[in-house]
Amino acid sequence: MWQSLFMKEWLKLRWYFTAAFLVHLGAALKILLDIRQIILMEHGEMVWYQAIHLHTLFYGPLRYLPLITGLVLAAAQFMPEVSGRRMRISLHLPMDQNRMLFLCLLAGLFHLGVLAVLDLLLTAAILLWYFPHELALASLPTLLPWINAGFIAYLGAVHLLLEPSWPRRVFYALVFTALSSLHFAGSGYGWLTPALPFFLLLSPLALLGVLDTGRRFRQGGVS
Amino acid sequence: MNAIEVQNLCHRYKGKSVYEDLSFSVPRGSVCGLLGKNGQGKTTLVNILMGFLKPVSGRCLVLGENSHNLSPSLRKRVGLLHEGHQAYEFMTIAQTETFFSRWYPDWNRDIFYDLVNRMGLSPGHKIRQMSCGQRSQVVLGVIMAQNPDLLILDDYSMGLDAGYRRLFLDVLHDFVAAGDKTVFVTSHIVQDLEQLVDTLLFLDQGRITQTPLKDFMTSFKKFTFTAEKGQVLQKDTVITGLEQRGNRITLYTYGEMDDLKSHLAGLGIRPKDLQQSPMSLEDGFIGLMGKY
Amino acid sequence: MTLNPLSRWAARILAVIAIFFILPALFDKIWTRKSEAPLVFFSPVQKAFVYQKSLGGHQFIYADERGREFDRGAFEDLLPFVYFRNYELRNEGPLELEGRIFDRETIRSQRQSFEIKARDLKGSRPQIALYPLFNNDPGIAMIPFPEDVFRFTEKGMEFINADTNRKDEALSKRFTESLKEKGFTFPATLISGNPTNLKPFDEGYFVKDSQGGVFHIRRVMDQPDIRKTGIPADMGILDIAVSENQRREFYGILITERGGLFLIAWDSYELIPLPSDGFDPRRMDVKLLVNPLYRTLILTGEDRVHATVMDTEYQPLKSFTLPFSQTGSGLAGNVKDFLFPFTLSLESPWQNQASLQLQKGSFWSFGGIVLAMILYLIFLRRKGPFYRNVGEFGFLMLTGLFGLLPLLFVRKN
Repeated sequence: MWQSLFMKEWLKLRWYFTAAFLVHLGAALKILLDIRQIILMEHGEMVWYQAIHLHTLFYGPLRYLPLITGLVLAAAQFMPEVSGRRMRISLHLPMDQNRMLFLCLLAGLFHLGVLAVLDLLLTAAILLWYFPHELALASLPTLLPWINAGFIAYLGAVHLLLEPSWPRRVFYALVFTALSSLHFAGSGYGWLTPALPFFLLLSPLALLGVLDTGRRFRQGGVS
Repeated sequence: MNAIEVQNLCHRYKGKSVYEDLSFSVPRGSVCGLLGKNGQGKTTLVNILMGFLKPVSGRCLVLGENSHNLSPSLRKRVGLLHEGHQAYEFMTIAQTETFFSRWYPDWNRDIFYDLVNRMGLSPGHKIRQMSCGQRSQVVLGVIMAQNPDLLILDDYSMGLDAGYRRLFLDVLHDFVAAGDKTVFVTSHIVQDLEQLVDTLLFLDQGRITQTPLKDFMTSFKKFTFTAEKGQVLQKDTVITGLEQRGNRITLYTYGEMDDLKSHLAGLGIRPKDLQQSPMSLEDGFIGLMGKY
Repeated sequence: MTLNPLSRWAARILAVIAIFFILPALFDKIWTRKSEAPLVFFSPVQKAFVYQKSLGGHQFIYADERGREFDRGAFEDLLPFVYFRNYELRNEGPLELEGRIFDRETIRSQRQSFEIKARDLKGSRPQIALYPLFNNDPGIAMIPFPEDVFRFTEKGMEFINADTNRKDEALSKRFTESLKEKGFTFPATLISGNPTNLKPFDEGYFVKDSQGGVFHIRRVMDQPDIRKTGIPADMGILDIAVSENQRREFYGILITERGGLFLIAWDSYELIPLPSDGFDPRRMDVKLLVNPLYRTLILTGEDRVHATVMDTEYQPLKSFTLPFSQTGSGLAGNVKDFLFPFTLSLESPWQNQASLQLQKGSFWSFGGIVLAMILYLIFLRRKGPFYRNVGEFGFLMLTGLFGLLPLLFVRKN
């Protein structure tokens, strides 16, 4: 049954996911070309110096990309369910409704995760090509908060789409905007690393938090 | 055993009472039509029955379980038709079949394609590109193929032309004929229900009246006559409903011809050409509930 | 359906995290005036400590250790070694102190200011352990950037060339062997130096080996120039701050985990202890001011500045502690505590890196909590026996007034 559910999610996501995949590839290409250009223009050791000691990040284009992708995927997945409250069709299927919503969210998070892995691998590969491996390694904890911001944005957007009442929608919008903005604090590589465990705790909480909003969606029937 | 059982149902919306103390039941194997004017809470009642709205108080049992908390295994036995024949627009016909088939052990692929193929569309056709009538066939196909014990249909006739409505009725008719199936239906085209339902539920101002169709169609009567100029009639205990076009008056009553005659005489009215006319369900509905 | 109450609590916790990060920061931005720590100096004229204290905005007061205030001109006159240019402009004739005459050149060549911030120490900031080892070539005046960076591995010192992104085998071998010859045991546990060419000359790096021995590594004419220092291996070194200064009196300051401060003397590598009583290296900044007559060590913490003046032999002469408050007026602080029983933030003045900070409120927070509970009882309490509200009360006990928001917006109905 979950295969069937995943098929449904994939049907909604496929074009958006493909587009996002291409955009993420494009971002990686931009990073590659940016580094190539600056290394051609300046001395390699100066570029290294900027990257190591001045904390210049050459993968800046990835900063807000997971966040935007999260919002787009959430919309792609849940707009068709919310318009005309079509999700009632799925909610009536013989499966526990929390489990159903949970699986739908997992499907979305999985696609977001694939793009995150793509970002991590391509960034590391590009950095390995031009820099010592320490820089590629340092990109991981630097990218993780941005990726987590994508998960938070995704779950926040689902919250907003499912929530039937406007005041609560505004409240959640503020809460999730605040939460995702935390992920962009500081600058340079590894700034947020000591707080990573805290950040990684936010996503499971947000995932759990959506379930009750799902119930409200289900029961917040018309009139 | 009742397929649907509603006891002392109360519901309020934005502080306004929709019903107070509503009770009725739909026995298994019956086909029950819910009738009521717009704004009387038909959709709300259907939403409660479908489990998408939690009533403020009272019990609402569907196949013996609380409607707002149906177990997955019970949901398997209930087929829902959402208002507007909602379907996943991003799927094709074939994808719709594949998607739903996995959930129902009794899924009958042939029933689905039998209904859908009548339209002559290819399996790769997107739901989004269908007319409302075509979509209704797909949705009907889904519901029929899952072979439910209870069907709850929310305004199935919405957006359908006469042909598709007939088709829908044909299918429902065959479904019910198979036996032990219960249908709970609302429609804004009252006339169609006459061919389908055996039980009527009238919802009016928070109260519900339940009657077998046959009883209603025989005990409720339609009379027509021509009145003298300037005579004005009003509803009362005998005259349940009336329509007046010029001097031509149509009356609805539970009483017999003789009762009516003496009642009119008592009101000082001399009806010309008083006769009982054949009454359709729609006539009866108007006669009972009024036009607005 | 026990999952849905859990789900609501998860949403409430998220809301609390968001609220207690954002709103206190907003409050501070609007109402709290953070002022800089005061600047303390030792006046060779008065033989007393003087200081400049910020009142917020661009207002300062100038005073001495006994609390006597003066204007800025008088303050600067008390510190002729610091404000020598102004001293020259205002006063005719040379500076004469303690029977000695100081001209501009003497002052410039015998002055040094060396500051170490806690946030720049090892472990308080993210740092990839790759460093440029500048080549000392007496024939070249400026310091050109080397084409490579070095790292320490388990087995040796490696140089990676930036043009090829490959290990320079020959150079790596030369340095590794030279290090081994001097008794270095790999890997390195601390690498300290100034990876910048914005300095008058280069003194390479001080590197601690796995046994605790400290080595001074330089690159001269592309050859290793390595010296083992006599710095004891059991000192518990936290970090070494190197400062290339023309005075060439010391290489830098060694900081121990336990809060010891030592100068590393030029050439001899002898350790000169500095008066570091009460120094917490993780939460205090260090400043050493050197002028022709005195040395002043200034330790700046969260709420006090502690300064000790020493003679040129680093013998303490006198010390002074100046308490201060960074948050200024008490009212804003109390209101903040009333509103927020705790605050969350990622930034710390002592770290160049995020660290999750949970700051507790004060006695005033209880007021806010009690008010929150009263409001809850009046407006939000769920019907039914009291125990059904226990969770909510516990929640408010921790979160106070702003905990009402999640309770208001994240509810069953």
